[in-house]
Amino acid sequence: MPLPKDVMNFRWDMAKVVKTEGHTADLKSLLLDAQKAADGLVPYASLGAHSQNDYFPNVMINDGKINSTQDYSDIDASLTIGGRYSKKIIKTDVPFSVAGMSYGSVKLPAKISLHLALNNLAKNGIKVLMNTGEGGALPWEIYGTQKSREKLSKMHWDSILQYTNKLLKANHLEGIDIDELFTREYPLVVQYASGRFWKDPAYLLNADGIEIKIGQGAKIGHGGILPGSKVTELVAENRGILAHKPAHSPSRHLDILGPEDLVAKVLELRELTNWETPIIVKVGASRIYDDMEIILKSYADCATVDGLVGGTGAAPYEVREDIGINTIASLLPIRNAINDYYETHDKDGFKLLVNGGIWDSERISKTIALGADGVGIGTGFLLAMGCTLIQECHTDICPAGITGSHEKLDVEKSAEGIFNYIKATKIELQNIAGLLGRKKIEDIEMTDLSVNDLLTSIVSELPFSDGTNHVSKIQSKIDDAINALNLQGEKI
Amino acid sequence: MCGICGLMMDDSSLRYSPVGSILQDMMESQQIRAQDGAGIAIFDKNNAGDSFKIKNFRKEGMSNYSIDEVESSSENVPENLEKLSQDSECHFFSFENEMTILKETGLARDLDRKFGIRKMNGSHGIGHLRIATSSRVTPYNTHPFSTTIVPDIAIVHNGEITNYNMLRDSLELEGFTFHTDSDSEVIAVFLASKILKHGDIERAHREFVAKADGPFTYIAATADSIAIVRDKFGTRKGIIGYNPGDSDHPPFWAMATDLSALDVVGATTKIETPHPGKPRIFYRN
Amino acid sequence: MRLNEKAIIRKSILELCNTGLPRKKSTDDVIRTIREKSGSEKEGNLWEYVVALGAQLSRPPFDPYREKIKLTTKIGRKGDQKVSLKMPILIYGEFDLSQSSKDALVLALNDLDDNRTTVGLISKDEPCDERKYPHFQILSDINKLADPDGIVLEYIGVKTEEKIEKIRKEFDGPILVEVDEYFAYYTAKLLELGADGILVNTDNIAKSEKYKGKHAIAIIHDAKLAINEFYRGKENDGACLVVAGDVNNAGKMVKAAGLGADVIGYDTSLLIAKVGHHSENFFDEEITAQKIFNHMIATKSELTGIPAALGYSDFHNLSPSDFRTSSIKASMQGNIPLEGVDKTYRNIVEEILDEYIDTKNISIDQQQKQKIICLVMEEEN
Repeated sequence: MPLPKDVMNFRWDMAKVVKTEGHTADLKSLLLDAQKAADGLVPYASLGAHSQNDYFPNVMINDGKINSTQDYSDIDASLTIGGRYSKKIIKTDVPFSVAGMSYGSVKLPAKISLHLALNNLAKNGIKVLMNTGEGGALPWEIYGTQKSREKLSKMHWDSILQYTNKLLKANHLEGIDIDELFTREYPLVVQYASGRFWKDPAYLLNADGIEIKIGQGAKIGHGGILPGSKVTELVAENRGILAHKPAHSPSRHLDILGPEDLVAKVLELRELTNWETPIIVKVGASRIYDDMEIILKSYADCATVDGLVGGTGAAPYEVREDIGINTIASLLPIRNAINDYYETHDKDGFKLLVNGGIWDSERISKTIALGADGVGIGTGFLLAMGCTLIQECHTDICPAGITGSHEKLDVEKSAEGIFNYIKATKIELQNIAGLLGRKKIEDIEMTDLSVNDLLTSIVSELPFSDGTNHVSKIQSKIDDAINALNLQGEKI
Repeated sequence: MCGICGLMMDDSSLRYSPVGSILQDMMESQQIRAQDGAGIAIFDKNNAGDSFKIKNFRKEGMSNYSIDEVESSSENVPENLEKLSQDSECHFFSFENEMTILKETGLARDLDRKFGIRKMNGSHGIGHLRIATSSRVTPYNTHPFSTTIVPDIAIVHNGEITNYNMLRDSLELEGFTFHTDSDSEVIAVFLASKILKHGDIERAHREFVAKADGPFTYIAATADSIAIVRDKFGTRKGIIGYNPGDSDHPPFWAMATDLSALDVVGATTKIETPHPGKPRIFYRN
Repeated sequence: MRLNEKAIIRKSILELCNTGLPRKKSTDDVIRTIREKSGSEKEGNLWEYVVALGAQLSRPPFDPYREKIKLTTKIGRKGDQKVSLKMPILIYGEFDLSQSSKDALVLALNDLDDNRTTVGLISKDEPCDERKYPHFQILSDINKLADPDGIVLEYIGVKTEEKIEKIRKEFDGPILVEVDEYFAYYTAKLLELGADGILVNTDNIAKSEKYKGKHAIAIIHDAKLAINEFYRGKENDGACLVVAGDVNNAGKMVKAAGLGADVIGYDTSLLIAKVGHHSENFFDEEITAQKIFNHMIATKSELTGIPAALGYSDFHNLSPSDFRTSSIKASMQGNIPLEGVDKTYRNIVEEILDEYIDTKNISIDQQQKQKIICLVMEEEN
């Protein structure tokens, strides 16, 4: 743990006293106390909350398996976003995307690994959707297509190249070919977050999709944070902010205070992009029925919902742990909101992406069965790059070199890991769908799932594998209670 | 999410005062904001006397509602209110003496067609256009909200009372009754409970601003006052203007969410934005 | 993810990354097998299963940089004799402190008051003359009453009720009573006699027979219910609920406040004072005071940030409707709705029972109905 020795010692001293008084010492809690006593600051944390109950392991896919000797590579794993009000549509070949992880929160080598891997996959026929995260986009993300560079002045292009070379040099990546780098074969969604961390209008105009970030699962109601130690000069230059000072995004868009403001914002972005670009609205899972109703009425093409355990680069510890509801639990109110809306409106291509604690094909299938059209994966890709889950991303210490600069990330190896991860996950998804007799991944449905405990059954409305559900289980408890109380209960 | 408006005639003689017509103009100008429901409350001294009306929505079939009106004298009002609380098919929406509340789902002009709002005169009134976000689109969830505690209180509201549950629990514990699930109703019940306690409406508004949390602007009308109140951070809009009067109508104060609503009715002098957290109240002459 | 499952998840994903081929088992398969093997696993603290609903679209969050978030707390029912704090915290706990620890604590509390972060102190000792903060004296012998700002009495039966009557005539400041597990029976009487609030130490009460196997959540819920019952039909004049025990971090404080706590009895400052700072074999008062000060300032920021993220500009506006749970036990003990379904476990059982009664066409009266619900809920305990 990268904490000063006297903080660690103070924590052990406190633990000793607590034990002598006859209590169990909660070491995690005492560590936060020791930190607060040392610096008087709110302690930060990163990645996802330690949810005691995230329900996924309690949900089973009845006959679908990730492994099969049969070839199910024909099964349709594609996902489209857009078309509800946008002229253009984003098409991907897998129903999962790279969730937003900003440059700054994640270091350059990690961003380049993702970029190279996704390009490679696109060349091999697998287009995967990438999300920039809220810290702006890197030059090759904005100008990675021939079309986007057409109208660039020489002066502008020169300054872009200059910044790019600075980035590559600082990270010992001069070996990368500039032409190859400035190729983007995959679709890109840019995040429109409250911090507005971009300087170039092309950020919005060259994107394949715009995601208005209202909130994320790790810090609902709280703005984004990049600690000062991670705002290097290069990061600051990219975002248009001061170096070495913490970058705090406001907890809400200053121009979105209520539902009608969101409508105005979506329409503004539509006008800006000529009604071509799909608009997505992202929220954390909290008062999700009401929030979904507002998004459905806001002329957006798609909603992204991020559950409690969604990761972050930095958030106050208590905000990360205590605010928001679990991903699976949020899917019930979301389904209700969507069904209620379409009782009085025609189906019109609205899509739902769900993030938060989803990293493998089984979890993707369960989420899709429970109502999502696709998912976003964050932590899974970090793991693919070698993340050891020590959850210190908000500091500069990262054993894998993903979010910190003390270790060096092997870009080639990471890119290969990401490539394999996506390829294998697609095969597993197709196996699951194939063994269930479905032609498309999106056809996996609730009848293909079952649960093994009462709470999960209540929260997901899924049955047990023997066909009973929480209603019948509780009814049988009622039977037992009536017998035990010896209540005859006269028949009317 | 909503458009609110209100006006108070500034003339003690109250010669021809087309309150309904002016309110209707203000509402129709803001219609683009909200289309799920419309409602008005208009106050007319000529209705004063020992006659009280209790109005309810009665459900008929799947999604139709009819309006029930029960007339009482001051003697049998408590008895009739008790009867109403026993009837589960009824949704209370108005307790009137000088006031008339008319509200319905749909557009403002449909409200006029159904009830003849433009023909209504009075000294002051308030209006509301609703876009539903957190409760069903039904007539009883439309504003203005009234209460069974005292007659002649109506409120219209734009925003959220975020500590609604806490305020409601506390008022219910004290013994006051709620009739809907809308957070806006708590404004009416709170103000009424304070009027019962000390009778000072301006003080009641100040107490509400201190107690309530969240973004809100509301306009509240009693038999002799109308006030526009913004939350202490001024998170929601609100604006006041004055029309100096002409041959068609007396001078009046107007208030609304949008400046455009004041423009449409010529209330373009003495424009002011109510200070966040400080109720701006107008009394009947 | 649970701490002990990180390695499983990592191994599983790395297998995909290294081979590019499907695995034999998914992470959920492995996790499920391990959880089944370890049997009825040790649950974490029930607080960990309670979450708060953040503000986003249906209500906007406040931003502590832009909007001032209130933490001020008044203790007392009579207007002019209230004790005013800048945070909802009274330092309270059972750590035995040396004189130098106590001096460090006084230094820190005075400093906090200078910095508009006044918290109060509950202590058996007499109030310190140099203090700038409110001191609540724990009084066992009425004759030992010094000059505190408030009094805490321990409930020991009828004698306590007599004490309150006597003290109420002589002492104007707030009187709090530390109650035992039977508070539901006598809280109303205490408040009628003029007590300004009750203090529940959830650690102590949880050891009693009545609350055996239950969590602080149940105790806080019941205590708030007892105070609310006193106010039925009356105007609320501010009797307060002080909660101590298992509330020693900002997250738990916020959840306790949501369930009804008005003030938190907080002991971590005492722990810091006790551990202190030792440099070359002597206790450094100033450095210890600084630690206590820093810790409370950080706690203040946390207590400001969370209500703002829930859409409140005042800490005391948190209410049960802002919380949800992923545990049936917590739902039963605190009447907290389950996440997603937004109904408490009791609501769900009651709904199913109503339908059961309808379909089976049997007649069961209200009392019998409640008994059935209780028995069904017992099973999940």
